[in-house]
Amino acid sequence: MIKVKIPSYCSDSIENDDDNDFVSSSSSKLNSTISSSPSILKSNENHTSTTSINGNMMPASIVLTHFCETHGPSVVFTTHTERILEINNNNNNNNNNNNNNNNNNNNIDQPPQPPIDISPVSLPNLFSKYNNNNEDEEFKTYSVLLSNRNNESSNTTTTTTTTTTTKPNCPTCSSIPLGNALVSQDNSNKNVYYVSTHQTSNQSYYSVIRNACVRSLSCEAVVGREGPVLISSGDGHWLSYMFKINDSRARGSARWYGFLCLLKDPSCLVNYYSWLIDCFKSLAEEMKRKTNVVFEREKSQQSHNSSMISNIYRRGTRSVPLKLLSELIEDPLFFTRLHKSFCSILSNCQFKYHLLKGNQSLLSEQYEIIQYFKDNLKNLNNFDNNNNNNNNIKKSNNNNNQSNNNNNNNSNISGFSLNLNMLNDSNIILLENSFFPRQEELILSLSQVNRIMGEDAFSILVYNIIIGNQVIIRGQNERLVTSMVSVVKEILPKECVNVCNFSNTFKELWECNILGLNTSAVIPLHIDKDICCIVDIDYYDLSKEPDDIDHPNRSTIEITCSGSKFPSTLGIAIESIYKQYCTITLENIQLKSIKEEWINKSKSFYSIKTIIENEKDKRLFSFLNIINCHHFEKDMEILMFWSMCARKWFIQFNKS
Amino acid sequence: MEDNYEEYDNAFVGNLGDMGYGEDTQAAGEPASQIENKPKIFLMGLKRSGKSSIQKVVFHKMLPNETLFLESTSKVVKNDISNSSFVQFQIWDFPGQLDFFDPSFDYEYILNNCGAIVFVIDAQDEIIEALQKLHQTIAKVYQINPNIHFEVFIHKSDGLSDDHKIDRQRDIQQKTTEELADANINVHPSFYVTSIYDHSIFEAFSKVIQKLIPQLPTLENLLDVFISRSRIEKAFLVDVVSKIYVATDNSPVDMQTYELCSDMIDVVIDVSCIYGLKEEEEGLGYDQESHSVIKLNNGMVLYLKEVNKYLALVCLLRESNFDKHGLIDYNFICFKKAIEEVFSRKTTKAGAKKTIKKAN
Repeated sequence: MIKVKIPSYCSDSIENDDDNDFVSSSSSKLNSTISSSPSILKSNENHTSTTSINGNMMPASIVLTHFCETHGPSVVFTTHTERILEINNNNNNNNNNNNNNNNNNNNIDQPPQPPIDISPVSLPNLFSKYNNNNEDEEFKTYSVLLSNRNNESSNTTTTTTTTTTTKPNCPTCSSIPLGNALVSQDNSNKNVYYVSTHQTSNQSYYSVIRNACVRSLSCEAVVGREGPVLISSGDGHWLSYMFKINDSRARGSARWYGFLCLLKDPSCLVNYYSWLIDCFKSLAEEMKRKTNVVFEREKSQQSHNSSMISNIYRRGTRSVPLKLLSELIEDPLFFTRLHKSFCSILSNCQFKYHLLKGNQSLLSEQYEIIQYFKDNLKNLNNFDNNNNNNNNIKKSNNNNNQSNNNNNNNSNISGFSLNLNMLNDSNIILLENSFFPRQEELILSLSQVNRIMGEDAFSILVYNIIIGNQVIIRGQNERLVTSMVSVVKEILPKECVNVCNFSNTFKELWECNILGLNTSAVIPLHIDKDICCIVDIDYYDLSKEPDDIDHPNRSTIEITCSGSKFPSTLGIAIESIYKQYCTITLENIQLKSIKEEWINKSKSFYSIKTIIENEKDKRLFSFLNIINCHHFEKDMEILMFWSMCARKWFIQFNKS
Repeated sequence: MEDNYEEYDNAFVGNLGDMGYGEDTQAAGEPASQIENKPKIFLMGLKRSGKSSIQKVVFHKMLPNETLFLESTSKVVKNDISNSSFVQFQIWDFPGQLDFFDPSFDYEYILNNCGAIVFVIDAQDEIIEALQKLHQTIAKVYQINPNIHFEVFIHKSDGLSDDHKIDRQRDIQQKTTEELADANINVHPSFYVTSIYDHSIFEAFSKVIQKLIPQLPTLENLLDVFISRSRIEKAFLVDVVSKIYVATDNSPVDMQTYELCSDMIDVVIDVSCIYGLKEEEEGLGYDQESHSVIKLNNGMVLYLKEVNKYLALVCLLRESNFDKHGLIDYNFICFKKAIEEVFSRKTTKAGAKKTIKKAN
């Protein structure tokens, strides 16, 4: 039996533990093959099995940081992902007996348990045992004791940034006891676990977190001092969200905390930026609200003996000790709930990551979740308020109301009502379409086209447009066809498009490459179906209304498309924009930047064409490699088309 | 009277570094790079030793008892006083919890253009840790830039009795110098006993800043000449906004005199803010016409006159010597002209030698 553990941070091959055997080493081999021959493997990234490992490898962690009065910037609470790909079947060791049966149990007051070695094998055992118990719970959490192995090793290395190392008994920067951990399993991907500790035991990873913590709390300035900042440095990329909470005992009556989000892939951070900030903001608001209750109460009590307060401030050695964060919030389960919120964020990040990369094979369960949410949203829209508490959204909504009404309600276990926020983006998409039936619906954005057509047909359309084939958009309704044409032409730079919005007779490719055409017009026989894409667009025939008329995601428009399709670098890039379900503004910005990038590529292609002798020239291929075009043939055609159009445009411009 | 100041010319020509002075002709929008090049004064020390309080009281006019409610400083607070003050520099207030000489910080960049490091020690607290930190800091900084001045503020002295104060100062001074000598570091920090509840912090900061002014000997000499010719007891050249004195004559500074003089500035500014400004007019209430004489009931006279946009000359003299009022005024005009010449050297740094003549 093979013992397999790939900690997320090892994918970066920061260190090669001897513990990481078969899979981890093989994956790093795979990684190295990818990087050494980028031309082939990288281009096929989405379709090969390597990605499934790569996608799985995205390490992520969320950290609660604090500017401690005594220790300076310090890490309070870390949640990170652990991926365990295979299970050691040899699990009749004593681990099974060590587990804590109580769900959601806070580990304070726990009797000491024999330690568990969290990393290699015990996690799956832990969860296989309890998996069938409470299915409705979002993230089941177990508190476990870590074995000493990690702690011992951590003592040998030193942190890069020093003040004194945090003492465990400091009230402000301690969370769960040292050596303890909160563990949860991802609901959809059973190989993923979320482990929360006070500070991560992996030293190299800890120093990265610690650096990020120092930078975000003590170096970076945020307008208004509270809020998000995206930090990029050689060590990595972090999103930090700073906020302060009131504490009548602290200096200046304030304590500074921050959330740090570390994802390996910086593009993820950028893509989820607004979503992550929303999550952090709601968490921070919740914490602030709860501490404010305590703060106001203590302030009214203390106003009587103000001389006492000034003594607290003046003396270096304080007489009144600071409170624990969980006491300040008046919630003994605070860190358990924080753990769940972090898990939920991390899980959704991973989920979104797959959406982004379009790796559908991994997503069958996750698509089910989307479907689930869609169904629930429908109920929500109908204001159907009979308490079906299977509904996740509603449940969290209810919880939200509860916590608003009753701040001290400790039974509100499911936490910061983040569930609703989690699927914000898909909610938005669903809500956009929920006002059905709509009259006179027009095509307004490419993402709408993508949704109506489906991804396959959309990629046919994109391919034919960018390579310069003629795209014929057929329909009877002139306004509809015109709206489609004007949306679709945005894919190309303006120099490359020759548009005819709506015509009753066919026009040849040299007259216009994006043609809006009346359905009654005849397309001549000499038009080769290989170099032309015919899109039919029309409203649904109302008499043939399908059964799912109430489906929120349904559109009144029907688009079908026929044409050839080949993979191209640009095509994949454009498609990936619309797979993310961002807001329209963000999509437009992304499209614009990709267009800019390719305009520049065509410019350099145009200048290099003069020294290329023929198509087999090796320099041509190395050039294409340099500009990251790995679908040589089609990419070259695209570049030819773009540069040719630009040249034509330039000549005309010069003449006039 | 005729004095030749030629000998001082060499003292500061070419020795100005980047120390800038607020000039009357200075454009309002100064390029940022120029401000970045201003010398820096660091406020360092352990947490809760009073760094931010000092900065707030001296440069932000915060009331001393309000500093109790300051938050702890979590990041370096850069305070640019080049817009309001005569001597242009930056104050960097460091959080005490962080060690900025750790390899993960670019401390060489941080120390670039640093003029002085003010190390604040809480005199009411245990000093062992503070001294350790002080030693570390000095050792580190000395390696990188041995020219940086070290100033140790034995702070929060208001809570100590006078005997205790002297003991503390001797104790700290002795330990520090011994340790530095043991470590073979040739640095001689200056020690000041300070408190934000009296003027000691202003005086200490004055001394710190004076060390950064290359023309200080010239200014002191001018003041010496001025007071001896005008029969004045004591004269301060004070920065109006911060009330730090840029220079004084060579007679010893008596704390009470300095307090009187700095209070006088407050009086003048307050009165002219109330009565001197037109309605809805904003400003300091301090201009070229600013001039004030206050007669005290102990037979002394306080005399204030504007020198330039940022500086005022404040003198203390006996009432019996105040009979020749015109003489003092005339001497002052000469003194002012000389000061202007001294500082105009900044712009004509490489210019030809000039002989400053002053007639009486």
